[in-house]
Amino acid sequence: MGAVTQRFRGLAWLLGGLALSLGAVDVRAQSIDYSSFERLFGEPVTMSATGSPQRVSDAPVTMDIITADQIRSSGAYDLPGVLRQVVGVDVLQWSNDHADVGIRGYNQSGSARVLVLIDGRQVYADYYGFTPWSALPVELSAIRQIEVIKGPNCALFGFNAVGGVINIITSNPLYDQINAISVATGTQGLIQGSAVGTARLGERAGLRIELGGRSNQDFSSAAPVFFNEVRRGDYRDSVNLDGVVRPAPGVELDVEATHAESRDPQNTSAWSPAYTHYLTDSLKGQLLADTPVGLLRATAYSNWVDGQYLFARDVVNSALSPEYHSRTSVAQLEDIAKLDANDTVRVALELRQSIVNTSPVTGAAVLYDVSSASGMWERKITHALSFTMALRMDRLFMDRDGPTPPAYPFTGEDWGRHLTAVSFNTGFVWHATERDTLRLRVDRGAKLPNLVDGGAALVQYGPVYYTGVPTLEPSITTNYEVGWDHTLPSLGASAHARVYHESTTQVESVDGGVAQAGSQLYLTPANIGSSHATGTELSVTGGFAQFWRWSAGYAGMIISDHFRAQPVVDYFVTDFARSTPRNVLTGSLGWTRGAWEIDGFLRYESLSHGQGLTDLTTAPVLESIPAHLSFDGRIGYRFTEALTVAISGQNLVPRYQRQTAGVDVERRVIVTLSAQL
Amino acid sequence: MRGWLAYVMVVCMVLCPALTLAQTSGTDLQVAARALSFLNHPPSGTLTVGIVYVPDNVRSVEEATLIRSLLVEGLRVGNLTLRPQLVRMSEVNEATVQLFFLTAGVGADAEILAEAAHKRHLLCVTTDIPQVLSGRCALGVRSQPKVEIIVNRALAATSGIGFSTVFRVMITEI
Repeated sequence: MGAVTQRFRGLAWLLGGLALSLGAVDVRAQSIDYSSFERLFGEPVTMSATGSPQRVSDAPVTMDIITADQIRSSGAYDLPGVLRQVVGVDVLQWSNDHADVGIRGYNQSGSARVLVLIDGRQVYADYYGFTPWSALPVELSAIRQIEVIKGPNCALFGFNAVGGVINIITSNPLYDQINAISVATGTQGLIQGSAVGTARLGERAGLRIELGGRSNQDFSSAAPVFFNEVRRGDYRDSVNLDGVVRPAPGVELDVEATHAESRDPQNTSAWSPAYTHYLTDSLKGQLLADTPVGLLRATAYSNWVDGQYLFARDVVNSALSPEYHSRTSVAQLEDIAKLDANDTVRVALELRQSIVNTSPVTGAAVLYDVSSASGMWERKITHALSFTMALRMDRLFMDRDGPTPPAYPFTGEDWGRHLTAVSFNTGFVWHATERDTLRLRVDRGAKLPNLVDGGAALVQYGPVYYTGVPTLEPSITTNYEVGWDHTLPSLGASAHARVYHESTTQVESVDGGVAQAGSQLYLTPANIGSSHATGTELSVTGGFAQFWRWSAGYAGMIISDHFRAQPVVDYFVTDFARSTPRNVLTGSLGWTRGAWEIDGFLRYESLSHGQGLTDLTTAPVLESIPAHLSFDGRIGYRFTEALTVAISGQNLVPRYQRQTAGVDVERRVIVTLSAQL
Repeated sequence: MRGWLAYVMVVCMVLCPALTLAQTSGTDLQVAARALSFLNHPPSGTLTVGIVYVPDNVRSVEEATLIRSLLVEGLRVGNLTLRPQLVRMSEVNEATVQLFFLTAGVGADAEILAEAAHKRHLLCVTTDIPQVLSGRCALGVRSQPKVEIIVNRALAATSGIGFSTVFRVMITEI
């Protein structure tokens, strides 16, 4: 721990020295002003594809942008509700406030394949390999766009971005004057409030404050008796302070502090429901400078995530209920430079440490230190053809601090190991005609074991002995993809098509192995084999008759798993082939005229399967989830330029619907009053 | 080699028939005005734009008249307002303007403007992209079929004009 303090003290000195030295250099800092660039180019811009600013039409990745207007018209009250309207994104709704979000299938409880960030800061919880959506410290009205990148993008974002990346971009207090308040009420006893305020302090400083809170009951759908133990209500509150200042000509400093708390039922990666309590806190600093050697950015942040999981008390003792306290600290230094008319490069260094205590058996901690180096080169071969190559190397050192319990199959020294992961993203973008763009990409990404699976989970109770292990290997995902974008000016529409093939080796399952200490057998996670997926995505969007907008999408996917035998029973809880629906259709229709705005969204999923709920005394059983069609909608009326009332709903028909192997999702209707100040 | 490739890139784009002969539009002027905000020293307030034309060049005169009509009420973008002033090519050294807009079709006559812009450290903007390729004007813009921005780096640099890295990464430089 002392080494970590020294490391970050050193970084603070580095940042301070950088700031002082930049005062002597003619620099022009300009963080990416998304609004200005969007108005300039007439299309969204992003930095999430390669780390370098780009127009979305030039990005070598498959990316969907959800705009602030689309967030509003979705009628959703939380982020998973917005994301489920995107083709290729899968949402497993376990309770009103808890969902797992996946990209291109492979979505299971505690989805670990999608990296989620807010303004480039990771909010994916390393310790357990998931994203606590309700505990993200961001309000929907503060978001200017959500960037959804499909396929591995580890060369830029690091390990765990093997399924894709969701980067939530919020308004910048220096450029965007967002002041909004909303209150909402609805079914299941929903009460929600949200406020975003922005203060400009002259031309050189801005401060944004976000506050949010939500209280509601859970679904009233039928559930196993033990599940009712975890139906204790869903709650959320959060606060976010983000200040940006130009302390000297050409230097920009951004400091952000956040806090969020949530309580809700969750289907854990053990396929047993638990009432969870998350506390997330973060502190981030970022220094930006436009120098003769390029755009320099130095970032440092720490995330503290505490998670308490109370399994059904009536059935099992709380000795099975873990409580984790984790911290992830990251320091990054990067430079983006345009070498000449045709070549843009990005180089970056990163240090990261994640640490979490063992639980429910306490007394030790598992941690890893990661050093990373990455580079990106974009070459404009001709005006219409560009090539991008990004490469990243992560060197991880895993360790365990603290004693091991008696009758334990491992010693602390077993954790002293190094792992090296190499990721790359390559792609061609060819603007073949004024209306056609073709993309070809090959990607490789690595998903490292989370700390819980890597040893922080330690259960010794009755017949249940379970431990994380130091022997897990990274999962490697390789993706091959071609894509085509076509505009149809006569129809006011655009069409997109993607075909991809993805292979993952060293797939991990929480029940993949066993370890023995004397006569005591422990169930453990383990690498169990490989999985392969072939899929396609088709989508069209457009508008007509001045007031109407529409979209349609299709995602088709076939997965084949190649796993070895499970050591205890005859199946693994991990079953991507059967848990991913082969066909998903989405559609939307919207109308805006005068003060009225009406939107509807349909989503169809074909037959799939999922592991049923268990009380931890029995193994989960694969259950079928019939094909289903769900419908969301919103009707909004703008009283004045500032005041809007809306009625919206999710899963409107039928009232209860089986969408997962958990409890049935229940219809939700919400009335929202919002004001833009 | 790299410079040659850049030249070919832009020529390929420019030789599309739909592009070379298009008149300057209001959207083109908006793109140009927005691009100014990404200068290392972005202007604000009211800027007088010298619309440079050659009096005995019919096309140049027509375009100058068109651009003046588009700007006569003032083009406001953010905290910048552009106002027009017609300037003959022979008078570019004396014109009291803060920015030049070169009309299309003047050909080699633009060398006079290039020299004046360099001497006075003023930016030259145009929708006549070949003038950017030939080093007579630093910034070229067009809005159809897709927004394109081309900067002649060497010419801009010698005139003391530079853009932010973020902007330069997203545009075409030659």
